[in-house]
Amino acid sequence: MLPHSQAPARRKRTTRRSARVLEFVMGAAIRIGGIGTMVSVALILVFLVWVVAPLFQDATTEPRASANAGGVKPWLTGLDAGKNLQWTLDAEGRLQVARLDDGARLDERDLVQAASGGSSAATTATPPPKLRSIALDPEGTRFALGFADGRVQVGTLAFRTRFAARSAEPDAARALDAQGRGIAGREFVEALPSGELRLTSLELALEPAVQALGEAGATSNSAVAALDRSTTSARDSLLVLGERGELVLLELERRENMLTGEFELESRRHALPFQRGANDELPAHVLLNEGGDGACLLWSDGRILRWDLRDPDAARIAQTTDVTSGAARISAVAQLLGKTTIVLGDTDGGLHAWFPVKRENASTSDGTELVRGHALVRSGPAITRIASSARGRVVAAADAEGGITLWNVTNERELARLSMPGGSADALAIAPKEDGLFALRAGGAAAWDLDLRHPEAGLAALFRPVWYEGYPGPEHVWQSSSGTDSFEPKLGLWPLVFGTLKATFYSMLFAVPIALLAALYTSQFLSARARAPIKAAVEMMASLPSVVLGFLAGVIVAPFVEDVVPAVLLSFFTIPFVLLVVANAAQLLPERLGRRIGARERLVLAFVMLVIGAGLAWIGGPWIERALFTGDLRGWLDGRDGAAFGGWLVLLLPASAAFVALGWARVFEPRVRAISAHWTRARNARTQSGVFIAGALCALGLAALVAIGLQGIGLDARGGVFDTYVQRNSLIVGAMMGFAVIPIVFTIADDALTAVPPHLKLASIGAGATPWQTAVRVVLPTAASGIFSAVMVGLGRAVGETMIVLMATGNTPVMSWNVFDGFRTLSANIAVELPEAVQGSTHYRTLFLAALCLFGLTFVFNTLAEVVRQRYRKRAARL
Amino acid sequence: MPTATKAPMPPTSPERLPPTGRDSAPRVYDAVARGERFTTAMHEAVLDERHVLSIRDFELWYGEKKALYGITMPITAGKITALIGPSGCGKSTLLRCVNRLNDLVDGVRIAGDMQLNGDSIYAKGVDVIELRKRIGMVFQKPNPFPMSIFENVVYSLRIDGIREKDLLHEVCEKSLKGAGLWDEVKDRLKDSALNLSGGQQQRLCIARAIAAEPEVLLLDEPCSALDPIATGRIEELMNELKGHYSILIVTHNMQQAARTSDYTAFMYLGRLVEYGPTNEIFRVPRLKETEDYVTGRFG
Ligand SMILES: Nc1ncnc2c1ncn2[C@@H]1O[C@H](COP(=O)(O)OP(=O)(O)OP(=O)(O)O)[C@@H](O)[C@H]1O
Ligand SMILES: [Mg+2]
Repeated sequence: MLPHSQAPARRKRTTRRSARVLEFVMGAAIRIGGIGTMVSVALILVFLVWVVAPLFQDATTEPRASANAGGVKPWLTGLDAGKNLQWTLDAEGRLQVARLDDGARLDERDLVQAASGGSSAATTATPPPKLRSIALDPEGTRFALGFADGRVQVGTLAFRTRFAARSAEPDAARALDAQGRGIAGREFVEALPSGELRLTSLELALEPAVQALGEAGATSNSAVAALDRSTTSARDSLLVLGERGELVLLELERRENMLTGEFELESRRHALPFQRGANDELPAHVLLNEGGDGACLLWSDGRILRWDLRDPDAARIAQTTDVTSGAARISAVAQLLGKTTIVLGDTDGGLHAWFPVKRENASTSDGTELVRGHALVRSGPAITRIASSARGRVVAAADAEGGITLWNVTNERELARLSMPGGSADALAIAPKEDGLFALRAGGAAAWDLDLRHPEAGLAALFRPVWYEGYPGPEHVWQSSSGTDSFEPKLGLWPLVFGTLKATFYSMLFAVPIALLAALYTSQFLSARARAPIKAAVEMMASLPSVVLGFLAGVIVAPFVEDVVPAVLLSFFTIPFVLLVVANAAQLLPERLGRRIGARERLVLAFVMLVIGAGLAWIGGPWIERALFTGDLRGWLDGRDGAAFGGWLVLLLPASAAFVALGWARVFEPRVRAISAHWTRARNARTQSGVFIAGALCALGLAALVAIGLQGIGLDARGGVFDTYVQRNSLIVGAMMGFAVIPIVFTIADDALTAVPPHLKLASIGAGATPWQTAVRVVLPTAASGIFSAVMVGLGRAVGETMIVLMATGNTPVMSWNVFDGFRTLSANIAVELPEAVQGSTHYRTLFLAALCLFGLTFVFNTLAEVVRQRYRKRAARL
Repeated sequence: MPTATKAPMPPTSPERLPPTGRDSAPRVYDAVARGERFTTAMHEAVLDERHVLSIRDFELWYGEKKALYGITMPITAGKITALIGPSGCGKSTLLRCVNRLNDLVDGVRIAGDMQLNGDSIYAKGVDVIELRKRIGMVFQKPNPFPMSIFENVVYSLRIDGIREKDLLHEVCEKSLKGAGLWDEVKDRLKDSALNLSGGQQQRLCIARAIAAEPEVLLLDEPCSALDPIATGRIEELMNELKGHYSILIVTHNMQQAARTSDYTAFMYLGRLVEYGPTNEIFRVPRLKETEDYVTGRFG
């Protein structure tokens, strides 16, 4: 140790304060930025999950106070939208309106009296004919009554609500109790927080009765045993079954009398040719469909007779079938909204939904078959009542033991299981907003508040095939909206996921080879000076807005390609072929001349070949179309005519070329090499060219042979990858989206390839490898992880791409691999539908679920890319 | 196959004898300063041998900058020739000119020629790919390919399209034995070459180079990234390869040059200053610069 005095003078070194401050500030900023990013991504995820979660949540139920007004045995019942009032109809035709909670009565009408009063006021001496049957539509408003004297009467039943200031309705204001509710006359009064009053009452409108069976005034008329009513904007249709087996279709039309200005009900009767077996019981139910052009007669033992009523004067029986198995008897019937699906409950506890389905090989006369689409319950206590919802596909079924089960029919999801204390329900009603259930029995009542959340959703409904009404079988369908009220939204996400994958697949098929070959070319075969502008140009390509690409694709490329499909298809073959021919021909040049061809000449030559290849395709397109596709490719694709051979040939040619090339390289080349070792260069080149021509012919022959074989055993590529041509199709999107993906894949791949240590390349070149051999054998494997990342990032981009697919596909959510058909992707779907989705609706939440799926897909691809990159990073460090 | 490692020689300066025919002032500096053409002090002994490679009046420019000046240098067949000289004097450049790796560098111009066993290397119309197959090269930093040991060794056969399993295995074994690596790796030929140690990797690179049976083997500071024990093994290996292969090695290690080589060439400022049998260069150099350099007085 040197003495202190001898130590050399040292400069005092301190860190400047500003450097310390900057260090602190920047460190904090970076940390906040990083954490902030992670937190915001997590928050987006949380938000998505939070919006989506209710789709999968179970329904909740809460009992609610209720009472049976007057203790009658009810026939039918209903609730108002506010769940304050109930109406009940008993077998005598008495309609009562009462409070739901305590049964206090507001109003009472006698439908029988009203009917008689309306028709013949003079004959008051005779008692009015009894009410024999009633039909009420699924909305619970339009009804039809059938009387013992063969008359029928239609009417509507609806709760009306009006608002009034307290001062305008002093009586009503006085009637309010402590809870702010009360009864004033025939109205239920409710005090609103705003100080106004809400007054609700039942409004009953009855049309004049019409004689459906027999003659007016005759005493021997048959009674109406059963009837159903169906309403269209033009008319009312009633199907009436008389107790002696008469079946009548009655069409009612309201006409304004020009002279009196009064409305008149005009009726037309069509007697249907229904013949009943001598000892056969009467059908228990008649059911009309929504348009009134089809009907079913249903016996208690499960027999169904389906009628085709499209021409009422030539009505015929379309189908006879049996809907029960064994000894079970039908004990409850309901129609779902739209009057197409029939829900049947039987004495064995079975609960099934049936609907007509168009089938190609149907055994019926109208090509439609009534099928059992859903089996909700197979066995259990006998079903006594079924009520259907006025807004969806929900049904409530009461059984003999007092149990009530709520189902969503389409996805067969059990929503809730309730039990009515003290016995089974005689009447059952779902509240108009699906938020309540009311069950009524002779001696009691029960009501529940329901929160069904999203009954039509659930994992199975969103991701499994679902049998929708009218479809021939369970299918994945996305169709979120339509014109009619009774339309059932179909929210299968698979068609969208499929569309996304299809878009990704075809665009990657186009982009990856081009991007990787381009990256290989610029990084391995171009000097650093030439590479810079090319890279910059490609990166410029990435900045092209995708909406521009989409516009180009949809408006310019798609119509153009449509005109020259055969040429476009052919160019996939002619361009590589021309390049190969020229590469072979170059070998035939005298040695000295051949070596003159440098990199620049090659590039120019390649461009020329590209043009020649495209030109050949252009000229050859129509010729090929005539030779293989009967002169009309699009007609051929439609499957209208032509043999399968052409399609197979086109599909198999690349595979057969690869097979022949591989076979040559593996089996024959070593032998030829042994023989030709001492040959001259020119002779070798000639042999090589001969081999190439022979190989091309072999490939063509092989493909043709297999194509003939496949055609021989009756297989056809149409219906798979090839099918009907749609103008905006996957081929177009694949190419245009490829353009969006190429720059990213190219840039990352080029970086990865350039990052391969030069000493590896030198070692390979130094060992006498050609630049191509070096690129393929050393550079590519070394950069494999980077290339994989490039492809994965490209995949992520393709999956999330919106504008191009939105504009260049027909956005049809179909599931087919057909290159010439469109598709709808998750992202395009969100862009199209989210603006019009009602916030909080099932549709809205499902769109968020689509977003979550998209997030998941891109997340998977990017994570995969990252994991691979990390795994190879260690290896890269050792190079 | 000897596996024991030979310890490197202790760093002793070679015994200095009175130089014969040596000028008193450094000639290279003066010649360069006067812009004169400089003639190599060539020992006659090198001219008597059979030459595998002869470099004639070779000049090279990196763009505007001239890196090699009129180099004439015959390389003796079956012997080890060492290239020494201070950093930046153009040793690697000269070496890379032999297998035309400098073609890959933008803006390189050359003049003069080289001949490999009588075939011109730089004549018009030479197939460079074919030429490189006749020359083996090992670089300063071990650079095995990211493949298995086996694939690394038979790389030159693979690119020639040879697929016969027996032949590949035979060549692999022979080359690995030749590079003294066989016993260490024979059980894990399928392992990645990147798992080998630095010294093993460098011997693998030598095996890869000799698998092609090159007419001349170029080694550019093959030991500079290795520890003394690994260096000793490589030197030992070179001694074994001598006779069968003609080796041109660049080294900064005077002891290594003195120990292993038969001939030594001293380069300086892009010129070949003195070239002769190793013992003469180290013991009786003809030029002052050479003496200064080999004795470690400058460099
Ligand atoms: N690619 C290149 N471009 C331009 N100049 C170069 C290039 N490679 C080498 N040089 C220059 O050529 C001269 C000779 O370099 P070279 O690498 O041959 O030296 P060296 O003798 O091998 O040195 P070292 O012992 O440090 O390896 C140096 O001045 C160097 O700067
Ligand atoms: Mg060097």
